[in-house]
Amino acid sequence: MPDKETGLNRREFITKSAAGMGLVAIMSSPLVEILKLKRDKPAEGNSQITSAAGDAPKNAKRLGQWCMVLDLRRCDGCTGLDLPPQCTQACTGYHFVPKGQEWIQIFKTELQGDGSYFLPTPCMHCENAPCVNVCPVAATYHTDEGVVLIDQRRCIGCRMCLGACPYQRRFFNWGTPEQPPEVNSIPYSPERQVPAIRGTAMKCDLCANMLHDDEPPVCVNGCPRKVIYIGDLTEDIASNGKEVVKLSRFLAENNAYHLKEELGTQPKVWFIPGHGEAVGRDAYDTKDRLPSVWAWGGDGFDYRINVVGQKQ
Amino acid sequence: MRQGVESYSERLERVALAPIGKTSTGFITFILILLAVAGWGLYAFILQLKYGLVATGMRDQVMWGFYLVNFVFFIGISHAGTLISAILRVTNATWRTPVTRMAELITVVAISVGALMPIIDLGRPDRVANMILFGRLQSPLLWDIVSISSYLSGSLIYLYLPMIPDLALMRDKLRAGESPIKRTIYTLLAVGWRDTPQQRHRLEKAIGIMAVTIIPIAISVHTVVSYVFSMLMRPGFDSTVFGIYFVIGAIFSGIASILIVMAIFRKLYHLEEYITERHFKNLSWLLFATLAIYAYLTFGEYLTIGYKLKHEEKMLLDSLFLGGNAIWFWLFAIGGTFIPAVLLLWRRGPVLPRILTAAVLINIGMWIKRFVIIVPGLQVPLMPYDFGSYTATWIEWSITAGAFAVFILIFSVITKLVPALSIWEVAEHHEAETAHSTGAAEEVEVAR
Amino acid sequence: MKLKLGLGIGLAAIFILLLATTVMAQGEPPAPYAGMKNPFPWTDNAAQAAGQSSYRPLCLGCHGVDGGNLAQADFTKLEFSQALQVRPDYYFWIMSEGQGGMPAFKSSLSEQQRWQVITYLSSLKAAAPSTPSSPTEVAGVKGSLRLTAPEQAEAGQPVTLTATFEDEQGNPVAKVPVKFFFIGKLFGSGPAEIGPSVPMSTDVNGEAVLEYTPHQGGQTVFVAQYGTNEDRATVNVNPGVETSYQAEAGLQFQAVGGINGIIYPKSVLDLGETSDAPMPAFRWPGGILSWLFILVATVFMIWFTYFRVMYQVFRIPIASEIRDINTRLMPTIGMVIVITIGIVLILKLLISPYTHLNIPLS
Repeated sequence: MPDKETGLNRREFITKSAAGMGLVAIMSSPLVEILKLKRDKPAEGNSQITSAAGDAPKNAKRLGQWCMVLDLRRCDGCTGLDLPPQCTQACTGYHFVPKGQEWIQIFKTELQGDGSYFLPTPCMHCENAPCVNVCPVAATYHTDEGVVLIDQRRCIGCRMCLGACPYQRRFFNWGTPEQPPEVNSIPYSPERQVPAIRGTAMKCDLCANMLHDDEPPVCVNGCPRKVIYIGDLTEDIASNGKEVVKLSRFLAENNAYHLKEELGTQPKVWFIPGHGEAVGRDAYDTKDRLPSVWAWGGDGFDYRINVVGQKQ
Repeated sequence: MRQGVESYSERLERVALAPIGKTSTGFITFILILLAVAGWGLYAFILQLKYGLVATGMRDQVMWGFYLVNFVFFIGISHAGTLISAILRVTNATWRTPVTRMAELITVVAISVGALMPIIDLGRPDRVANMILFGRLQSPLLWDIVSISSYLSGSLIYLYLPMIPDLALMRDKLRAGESPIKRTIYTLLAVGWRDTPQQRHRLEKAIGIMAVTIIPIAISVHTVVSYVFSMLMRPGFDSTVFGIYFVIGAIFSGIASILIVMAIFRKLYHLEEYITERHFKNLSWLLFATLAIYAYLTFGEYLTIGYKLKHEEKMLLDSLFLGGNAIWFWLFAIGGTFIPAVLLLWRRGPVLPRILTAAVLINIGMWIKRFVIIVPGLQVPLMPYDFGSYTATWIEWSITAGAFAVFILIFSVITKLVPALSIWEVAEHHEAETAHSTGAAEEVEVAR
Repeated sequence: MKLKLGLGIGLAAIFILLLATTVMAQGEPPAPYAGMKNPFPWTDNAAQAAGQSSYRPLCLGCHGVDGGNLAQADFTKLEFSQALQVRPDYYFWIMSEGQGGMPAFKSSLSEQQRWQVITYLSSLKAAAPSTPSSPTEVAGVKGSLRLTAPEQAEAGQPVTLTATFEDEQGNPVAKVPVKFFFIGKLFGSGPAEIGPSVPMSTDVNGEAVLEYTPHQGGQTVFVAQYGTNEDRATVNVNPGVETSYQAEAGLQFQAVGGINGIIYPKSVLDLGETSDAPMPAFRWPGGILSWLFILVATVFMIWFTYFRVMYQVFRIPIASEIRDINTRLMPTIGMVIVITIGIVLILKLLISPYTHLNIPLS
């Protein structure tokens, strides 16, 4: 095969590759300089660190890393109260969550030995979040404090993040989300996703705006059994609104675990095994949780998943 | 020009240029029907823009449906052109010459239609520009953009280059002052081709470079399309062989498509002399080879999942082999793979109907197979949900039909503007063959 | 009269016989064990500790960690401990020579070691139970609890908390379980328990010492608690700059040329001033730049090839033959398109790291 016919003989290939790489190297050298520059800055993002411990203004808190612990020994799915799960109701009410989406969802799960327990599942705010990894436009991202947020003004609605999440904690606004008129007076921010925008993805945002205002997420306070602990990995502390615990000790003593740890998503939500025994629920109790209630949204929301809570 | 006796190349020119610019009523009717279907698809899309994706059957659990199936299918078909033109050119398989033009055309049109499908699938198609402005290179969808845009550009160039001498031919045929617009266009497109040896050399060089360059790009295209799925932790998606699996599948369905197109145009444009049974047979062997590899990879996929039966993958296989999706899986396996294999191997009876049936069955089977890859994997719940359900709405069907209609439409219209055969290459090939076999006796006849 | 006397003697004889039988049943240690005394004081801590270290590997299996596993030899009972102190020679004899199911230990333990074990056994009655006790269980001891802690501390550095318990006479009391807390502040405040799961006991000096590393800055109140006794100490904890928790994801490569991963391994998606999502993040796991070179080189090669090809086409028209229609128009347009798309793609690749690092452009 004569070289001239195919055109790309070896010499040309090498010359072209060398030229290409050379050009790239030249274009990237200022890049390396700037990277060195970045290295000199301390690794604190955009928070203000106070040196004097005495005066500590509210927003000068050291950069934390938010996490959650769910004490399943106390969760009975609010069946003991004959109410729909109150954490979901609190979240839905505060964020005006479109009907059908349960950002924190209570699953009734089987136990070995034919028992059952309730599993409240919020977004795990994974450190190696698959949803962040696959987003083509960086609409979903980590904040400095480890919270995974979505900017609905950038989301293009490709739904790759819905496929990526192994906990199925992301939801999509297929149609125009029906929300009460109050949402229009609230300024939009990725930390508080109202109003919801059609054609974009949504999920639990750990009430990031409330965390900045020194308030816990609404599900923490909304839970009547005080199941949900909001914690800070940097300060090794967690609180469920009533009691404060040293986080690492709380986890170790109570045999906390992650969901689907083997997948390597590095989630930041722990579960303490239990079936509601601390609030008097029997492991063989057959009472199912009540369906969540929305004060808005008609029948046309066309439920997204058939039946909640029952495993195959 | 000897009177009464038409030379090979004269006949070739006459036959190949016959459909250009002439439209029969049948053709017009056909185009109108296609336009109607395409228009209906467009109407469905407008409705979808109005109401949002809630108008489709997709929901939070099965969040990808027909549109992504079409996306993979069309990008898959586009590998026809690459294989035929580039690989066969690089391996010097000269029998390819009559089919290269159609193959390259399939590629370009298929990619254009296929690249539209993810945009149709977006929840916010008005924000498509975000992919360029804010694109994240760690995302498989961005790899798609880089790869598909490179492939589309490369295929356009690779379609255009061998068309230059034919465009020059048509420019020369119009020299008598008729239709100045056409003449201008052909002249511009033909870039002053005069068939001098120097020009020939440049063109061959350019085509050669493109042929070699386009092959890795084409392989990368369907690989990154597969990565859109295999970067997700879903049963049936989470596989390491998806790259090569999809590429082989693409070549497989691509060859089937080119066979169908060849058969159609051979009949409609009376190209029997140039596209012979030999072409069909050669391509059918390639088709069978890729069928075998595809079957082998599919078998390996399901064996490695089925032997271990992890919890979610067990649910997937239950659904695929025995449950709600069983009909689609077995339709693909038997109707789309086994029966065509038999047809391709069974060398009795007329060649063309047999191979053509196999090709049609294969293409239908591959569309179903893409559905079987995408949707059942998404139906499997990862949390204590029910098994997901997906029923395509009329909007998705309409848009699918519209996409196919647009594909056929563009293809048909272009074959009325440029010859369906690469005239100069076929003539060149014939020259080379007859020079070999009959020596100098044919010299006078051929050198026109 | 003779009958009464006879009855009395008879009863006494029976009684003595019974007593003797009991004593006989218990057995009298033979020589040389008879009359042996414990060379160690019964409250000798060192002897007890040494005895415990022998007990653990040899005796724990049958007698249990607290000595209460066997009903016929329940070391946790007060009676046993008293009996041990009254007749040490008897128990020394059983341990040495064995009896029934009890094996002989005279060859595996020296005499001194055996006496150390006996000393340890006598202490088992007063040991804290193996399950964590609630304050009410051992609230018996009256006294006062005192907590001392340094005034200043650094977050991330250990702080020594010393809880001392003294009885009403001011004597230090050992084996008192003390719980430690700190008043944690997170959306409210409350006592958070720290220290080991099983509350630590005071030693012979009445002290329980806990090394604790605070992670929360500010004025931190530490609490020591035993029963109804409580004492607090305030430590001023300097929050410091370094965070104690670093979120990391992806493969971590070694530093190359002094730069720790050329791009930060950890996510540095800055939120910025407003609440916009930031520019794209170049968060390649491991943070090496080399893949960028490869990708840019590949894309560059592809588009440079296209350009070369279009240039070849550009050179097809023979210059002298170009008349009224510029046949170089198409290849020119082609080259322009190729260059534009190529540059956009390559810029996209190269700019990503810039935008990610949020470098101000003005």
